[in-house]
Amino acid sequence: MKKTHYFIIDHKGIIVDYSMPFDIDLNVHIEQILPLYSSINSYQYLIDLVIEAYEFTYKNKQYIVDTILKKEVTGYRVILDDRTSVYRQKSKEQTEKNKLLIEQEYAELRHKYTATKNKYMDFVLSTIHQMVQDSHYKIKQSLESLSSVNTYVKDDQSKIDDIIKTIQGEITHIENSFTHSTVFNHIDPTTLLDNAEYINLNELVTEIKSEYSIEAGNIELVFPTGTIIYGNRMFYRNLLNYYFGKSEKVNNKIILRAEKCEGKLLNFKITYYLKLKEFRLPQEFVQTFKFPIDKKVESDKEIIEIVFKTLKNAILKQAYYINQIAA
Amino acid sequence: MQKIIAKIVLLGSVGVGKTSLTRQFVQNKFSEEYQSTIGVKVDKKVITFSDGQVDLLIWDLAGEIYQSELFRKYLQGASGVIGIYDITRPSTHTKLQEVFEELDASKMNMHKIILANKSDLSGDENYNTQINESHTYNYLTSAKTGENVNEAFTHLARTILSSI
Repeated sequence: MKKTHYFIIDHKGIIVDYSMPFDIDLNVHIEQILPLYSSINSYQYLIDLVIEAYEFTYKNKQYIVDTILKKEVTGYRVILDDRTSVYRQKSKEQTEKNKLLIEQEYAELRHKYTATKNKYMDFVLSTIHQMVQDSHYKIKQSLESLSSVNTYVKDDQSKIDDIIKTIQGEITHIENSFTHSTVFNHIDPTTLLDNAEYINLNELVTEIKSEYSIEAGNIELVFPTGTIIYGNRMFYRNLLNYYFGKSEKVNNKIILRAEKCEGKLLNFKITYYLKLKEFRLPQEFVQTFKFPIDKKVESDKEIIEIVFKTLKNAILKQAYYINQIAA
Repeated sequence: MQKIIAKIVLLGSVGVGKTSLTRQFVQNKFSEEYQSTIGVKVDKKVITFSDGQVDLLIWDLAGEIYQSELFRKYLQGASGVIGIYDITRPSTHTKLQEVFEELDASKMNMHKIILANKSDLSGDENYNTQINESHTYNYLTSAKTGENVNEAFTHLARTILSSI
């Protein structure tokens, strides 16, 4: 195709004249060759608009042109500037460039994913370590104290019994902690700021509540309806879901309290009820969290540390409560 | 029977599958080989409903045009927009969300749908697609398998026809 060509079309889009490197029948609609100009009704938006790198195929041959539509007395003139070879080269270069860009994006994602997983593992390990360190210490102490008792002395038998009882109790505590570490599936702080958005706390609670069989009156919200938190919606959903599912439902409330504290954080308390073996009635438990309320927290490591710390404390407390239930 | 010509524009970052979705919809074909669109391609497909016919003019814009904001001049006269993101690349969703928020705020009167594309890669161990749990979209599509491709285009055509 030579550099510049044209079609002359009438007001209905029928080709009445042309200068093209290929033969076409006159009196055919322009859309047979250039679908871009199919709709006469939309010509008002196309007149004088330069469309760069418009690709079309005619008789199995691909063309890439710059095109413009001009209004004339008897109809329209479509001018085509053939730049097929230039654009084909550009397309090749652009394809390589885009492939590289996409690969880089995947590499960054893989890195971020691995780093997040590592961070999560650190969180889980350090929390589990804290969960069991007291028991570990007590077992160690008990075993040490065994050396001071004499199995041949009758009076020491009760001491041995006590030591064994302590060790058994602590081992059970450790076992329970591991068994109930599924809590980590619900509270993963590493997702807190992924795709973060501002969320109306009241609406979020209502949304989750509707998915549960909890009676509407059994959830008491003690915060203004316009309370906003910032973060990943799924993170908050998982967290609240966990506690909504935990509470003893019959005749017992889940109370959610929220109040602003320390500028960019919200103090959030969940009060719920669990049945302990030694008690006839479900007992009240309270978990306290700090939630971000401002996008600025993303760049504030100290604040994020505070948020993570409250989540860690919540998990530790949860493990403690679970042991109370199992006791 | 009502017969209309409707221009729809495909928007999305480079490599999200705009051209592949169009090819799947218009020609029932898919190619694994990626080739960048550098400008504009326009395809046509006629969709017939019981009460009317829509000649869809599908404007497939290069990802670079979309990223450079030049795409706005191509939206003139469009009845619909299909926003596409790649479920394996969260950045493509973020960008699309920004653009759609701007379009919502503008006075352009267009029907819009969002496609979460490349569903065939969901669950593939080489890609982390868990992030999409929080994303909103109208159709989860795959240009490769054809999943929901016809449904998405037809849905938009139906909406445009019904609104006239």
